[in-house]
Amino acid sequence: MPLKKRLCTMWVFLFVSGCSNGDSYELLVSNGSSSTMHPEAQNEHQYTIGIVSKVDNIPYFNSVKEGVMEAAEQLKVDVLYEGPTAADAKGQKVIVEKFINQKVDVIAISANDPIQLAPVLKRAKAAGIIVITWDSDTEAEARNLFIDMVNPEVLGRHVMDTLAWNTGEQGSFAIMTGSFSASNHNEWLKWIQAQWKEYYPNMNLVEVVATNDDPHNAFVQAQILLKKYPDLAGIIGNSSVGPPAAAKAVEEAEKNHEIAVVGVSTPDLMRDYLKKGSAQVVTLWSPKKLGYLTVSMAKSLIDGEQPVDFQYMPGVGTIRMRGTDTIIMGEPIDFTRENVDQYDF
Amino acid sequence: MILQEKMWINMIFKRRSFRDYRLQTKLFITYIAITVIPIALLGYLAYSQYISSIERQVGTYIPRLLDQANDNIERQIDEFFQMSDQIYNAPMIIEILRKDAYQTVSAMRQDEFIVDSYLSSTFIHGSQQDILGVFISSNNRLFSSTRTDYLSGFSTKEAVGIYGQNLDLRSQERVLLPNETSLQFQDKRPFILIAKPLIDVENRLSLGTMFIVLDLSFIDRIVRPIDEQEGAEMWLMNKKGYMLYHTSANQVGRKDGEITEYPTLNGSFKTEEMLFGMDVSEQQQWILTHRIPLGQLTAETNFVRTITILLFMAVIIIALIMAALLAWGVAKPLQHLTEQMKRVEKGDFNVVFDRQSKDEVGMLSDRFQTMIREIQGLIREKYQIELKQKEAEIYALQSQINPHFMYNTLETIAMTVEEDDRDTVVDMVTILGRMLRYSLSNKEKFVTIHQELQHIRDYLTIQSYRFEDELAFRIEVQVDGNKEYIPKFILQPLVENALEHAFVPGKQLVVVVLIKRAGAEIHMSVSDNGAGMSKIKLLEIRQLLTLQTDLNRDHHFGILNVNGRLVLHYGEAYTLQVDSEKSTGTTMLIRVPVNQEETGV
Repeated sequence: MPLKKRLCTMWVFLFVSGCSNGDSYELLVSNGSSSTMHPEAQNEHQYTIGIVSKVDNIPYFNSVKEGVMEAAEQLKVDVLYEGPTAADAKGQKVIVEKFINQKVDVIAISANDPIQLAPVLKRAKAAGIIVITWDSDTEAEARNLFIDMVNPEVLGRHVMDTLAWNTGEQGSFAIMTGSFSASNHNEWLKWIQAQWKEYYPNMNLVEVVATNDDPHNAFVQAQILLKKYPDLAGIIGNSSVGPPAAAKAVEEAEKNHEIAVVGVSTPDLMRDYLKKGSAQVVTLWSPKKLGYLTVSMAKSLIDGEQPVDFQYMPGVGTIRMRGTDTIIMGEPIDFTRENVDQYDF
Repeated sequence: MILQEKMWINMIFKRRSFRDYRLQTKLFITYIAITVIPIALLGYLAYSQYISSIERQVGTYIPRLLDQANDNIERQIDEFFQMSDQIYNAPMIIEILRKDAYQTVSAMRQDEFIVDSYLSSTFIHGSQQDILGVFISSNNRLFSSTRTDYLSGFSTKEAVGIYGQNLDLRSQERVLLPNETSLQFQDKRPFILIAKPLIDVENRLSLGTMFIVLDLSFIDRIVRPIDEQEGAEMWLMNKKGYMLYHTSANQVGRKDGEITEYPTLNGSFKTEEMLFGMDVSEQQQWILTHRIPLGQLTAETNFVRTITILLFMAVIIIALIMAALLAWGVAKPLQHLTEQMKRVEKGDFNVVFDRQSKDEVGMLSDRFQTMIREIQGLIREKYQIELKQKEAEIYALQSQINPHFMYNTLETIAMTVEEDDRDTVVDMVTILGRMLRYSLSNKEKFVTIHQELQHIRDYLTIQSYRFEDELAFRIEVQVDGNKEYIPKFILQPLVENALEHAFVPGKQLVVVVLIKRAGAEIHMSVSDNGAGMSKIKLLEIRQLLTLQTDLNRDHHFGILNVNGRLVLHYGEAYTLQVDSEKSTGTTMLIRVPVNQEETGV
């Protein structure tokens, strides 16, 4: 028997290579299964992003919320969207503290006051939360990234230009800014004035007032301005509540086409005024897009991806970087009587 | 169990039978086993290892190339997707796409004209030659611009193929294969369709879907340079096996039915004839496959293989020859030795060994030769002893004086005494005394003819006293009787024989003893004129003489004794010759060489 066994083994040894069964496949090299979408599925821990607006329930921030929710649905993240009832830092601070307690992954805030909010945001950072500011910035140390809608210089100078076109580069004008504490408003204000001083010597800035992003307050302020300066040639609204209030006041004073109203506001708010001629041009970006970008940027930051200049963001487009921690979403859009119907925010 | 036992027995039997092979065969088989088989095995293993290492190498680097190609294809597709983003830079087009209702047909036609012109100038007449056509389906409108005419099952109001703006692609870009659409170009050229949802990023609404039809030449440009060998095939297919691109154009659009059987889609494997390399692209999950006949890979090594095989053959032939020579060199002397042994066995001791090597075989031969010499010596010794014994015996016999003769002679003497013939008695007694002295003086074996003849004469004389007239005798000597020697008593038995058998009643018996010289021999004949023998008897006698049988037989003892002694002393040539004729007489002839001196042999 052993001999037979040995012979068999020998035989097998000799012919083993020839014995590979017929037509089947013999694997040579395998690089493993293809890298499908599984890795993403693996670390699918549900992200929570807390977003704080300047103030609750005004059309501009409602539009932002629409974009936020769209992104939340598409990118499959949980989003908490809240804003204070009045546009002040105190209300926002409460919300941020609440988000810290909820242990969200990201806090994205449109800061009403860069200085007052900095401590609480720093605390959030210390708690391991990524802090993003959008729309309106805070102190650079208090956040990881600032998402700016447009280049403030471009916007400020452009808004000044639109006013100049509509007043024939002459006459006095007033500016209704959002609040003197909001950094974006101040930034734009700075560039509006820079452009005015640089190019329009025949124009005269009579007053800068703050609306505190309250539509009623804004309307009151506009009325006061009209009374105070009967020869006013134009009003710039520096935040979204400014131009509609100004246009409404102009309309009530029956000074359509006499006083030019331009500024930063949404098409929905301005559609009627533009068509009636109580406002000429408003400039803005898409707040929906801003909301969408904020969420998708928050998500990529959680994923550890840092934004780069000229990066293509799906559903948004190409973004720019200014410095290492500021994103610029895009170019401003002008809304006029002709094109305002195309837009839905 | 029985079967196993049987096999086992068979094995033993086989092994036994191998043992029984001749040494030459065994050596030859062993040499072959220890040279040819290892070389063959080694060569086979080395070659198969070499081949499999080539396969492994190719199997390793081909998937890498494929991976690169796949990356390039995807990058290219990404570029096409990005190209479609150009449309966002045309606000006029976006404005048209945002519209969803028209007051008049002409207004709609106007918009269509604007968009079509834009698509044509931006994509079709752009730098990208691979774009066959662009379609935008938006709000129940279809804008298009193509390089060639197309057929499709849809009207301008419908979407391209089965996908339209109703499909919620969201932000998902997709690549559609021809089998997923009903789109067809007139020249049936293969294509792929990339579908990109157009999003109004400002309003967060869908604007519709943009489709870009791509010619496959961009894949061809990437894939073809990977392997331009004849026989190599490459194709690109999706997970279902639909081949959207193939290096041979007629395969495009067919299905690879074996896709589910492939052991890996990311790597390489082989069948009996083919080597496959595969790589799955990351985004599209397309499988780029490379297939090449194994023979093609090893074609360059065939020359080496041929040389190796030839060398191997040469080595085998040399090994065979050497094995044969070596086996022959060992076995041949042994065979020679065996033959010589056989000869010795048959009694031939005159064996010659022509081989005088110093190896084991030579030593064996030497020992064998020594042994034979030894044996030969022993035999000779034994032979001589026997011979001496025989001679002694013969001597004893020959020294006897026949008792009958004594009795008869004494009786004759007695009768003569009665007759009172004193002289005769004296004579007879004298003769008898001389005879007795002759027979007793047995020191010498050889005597002169003269002495022997004296003895014969004495014998015949006494007999003639007895038979008186019935017997006559004559002795003639024609040689010098004192010079020639012959064996003692060599003639007496012949004379006795004549007296015993030849007497014919009523007739005188004449016995003639004749000694003469014939050349170098001395012839001694004893003739009588007596009864003689019949021919049969004569033949019988002659046969007895040539056979040289036992000396101790009663019948014809005398002549056989004589014959035996002659042969003993002089050799086979000197036998006793007998001639006889019925009723006429008998002659017996002894021949001996001249000058035979007593040699003491």
